[in-house]
Amino acid sequence: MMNDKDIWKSLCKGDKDAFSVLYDQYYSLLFSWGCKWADGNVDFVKDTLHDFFIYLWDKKARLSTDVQISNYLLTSFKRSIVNELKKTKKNHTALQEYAQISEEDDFTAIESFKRQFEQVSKALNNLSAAQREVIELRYIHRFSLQQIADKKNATLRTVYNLMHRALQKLKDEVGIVILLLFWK
Amino acid sequence: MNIFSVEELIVNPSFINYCLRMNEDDIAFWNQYIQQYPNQIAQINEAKELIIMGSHLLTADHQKESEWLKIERKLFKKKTIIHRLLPYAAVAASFSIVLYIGYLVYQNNSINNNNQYIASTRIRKSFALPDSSFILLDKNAEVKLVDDFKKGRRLLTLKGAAYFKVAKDSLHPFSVQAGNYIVTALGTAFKMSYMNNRLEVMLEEGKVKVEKILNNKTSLISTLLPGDKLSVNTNINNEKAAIKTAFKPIELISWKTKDILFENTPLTEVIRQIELCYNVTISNNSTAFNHETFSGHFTNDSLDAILKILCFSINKQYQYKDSTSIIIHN
Repeated sequence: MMNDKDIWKSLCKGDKDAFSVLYDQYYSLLFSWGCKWADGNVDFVKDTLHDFFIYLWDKKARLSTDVQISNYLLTSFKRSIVNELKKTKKNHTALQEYAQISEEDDFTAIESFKRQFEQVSKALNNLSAAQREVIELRYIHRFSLQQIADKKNATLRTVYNLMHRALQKLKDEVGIVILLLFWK
Repeated sequence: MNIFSVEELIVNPSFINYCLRMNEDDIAFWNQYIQQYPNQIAQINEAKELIIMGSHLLTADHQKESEWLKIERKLFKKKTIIHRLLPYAAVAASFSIVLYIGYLVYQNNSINNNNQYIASTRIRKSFALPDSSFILLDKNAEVKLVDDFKKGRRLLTLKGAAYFKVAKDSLHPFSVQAGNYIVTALGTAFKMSYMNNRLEVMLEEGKVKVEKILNNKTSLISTLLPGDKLSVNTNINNEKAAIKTAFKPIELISWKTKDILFENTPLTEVIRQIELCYNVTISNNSTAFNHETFSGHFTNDSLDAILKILCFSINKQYQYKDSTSIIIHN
């Protein structure tokens, strides 16, 4: 099992596998982070993140080998997002706000974001496959409970119960998160 | 008064709907609630942040795989240079295409009595409309002409994703309706999709306007110029529902060319689909085109790669007249 530093070093040397491991480990974190700065515009973040990974691969030989990887990725991806937002030339209120945040604040924001992300992702990963699927269908694909029932060939009651248990489980998991968050 | 803890909020379906802007009543309820109990704003914001993060995380996990394939294809796909792969038999084999030329009774299965055009779950399909506009339907997509299309009012409805190349006719605007939204064009080319309460319009050339229908009245949402992409969450009823961004030409081109599949497809249809996907015009001086068919599968291949294989299999040659027009001859 490679650790972050080894992966990064291999990437700098042009190792394709290291690149795919890095992608695998950081895609969701970077995506959620981007959404935070781009007002939840998921399509925009998806495209920017695609370009960001391409850019990362293209300039791998010129990357500094001695970096704290997650912080480096989060900082530079945020920069890409902000630059892309500027290009659209819309007077993005968020943009001016974020431009004023100092690097120190940025660092605090990154740390608390990473902690929060880890807990949310742990909570979601603890769901069973079926529970996760109903949550996904309901809240990402925006199916109604009836549509989910039709799709899964199940009764509305079953879907409702599944949904309820899934949310209950999230509640238990996130209960711990909240304790941690206020424990600063 | 109800006091909600963060844990209670994150599992409250109405609150989730509010955070993800999925239901007008819930949005109104929680906005009202916040006004009424401003001292709860900290819990509300905390819970909202967690829910939104969760939804982004699920979205990310969901698209991660397909996004990786895009990156992989872009960075690591070996570029096959077709000229090196002569003779032609080897070309066909290397693309693992089944070539099959047959004389079939030409079936016009493209349109049924309800003026409805449908693409199956497996294969994209292109059609010429009565006004000589062209549409390329993605898998599962469906377009219906609204009653008096032929009388000059060019209105149709869309489900799924499709690319439209609209015949110029300034007297008769061309309108596509999807749910409560209506996209109107003069002479233009655009891609539009409507599924899972999401409307997306990408404009390639010309100009379109996007309007919303409410109580039989239309209100303008946005006007698009080439390179603009508009995404609308049709569940939301305020100005935040629509987001306009810029897209790169390659995005639309690669959507068009990513999956071109022909199965005993009449040659006229094959040619039309190639024209739409690669923005070229192809002319020919052969009558055989009316009854021959072609089969082959292409994914993000170059125009030349497709033309070479097509012409090889129908025993013809092709030639560029200029950069966007091609002639197929004996």
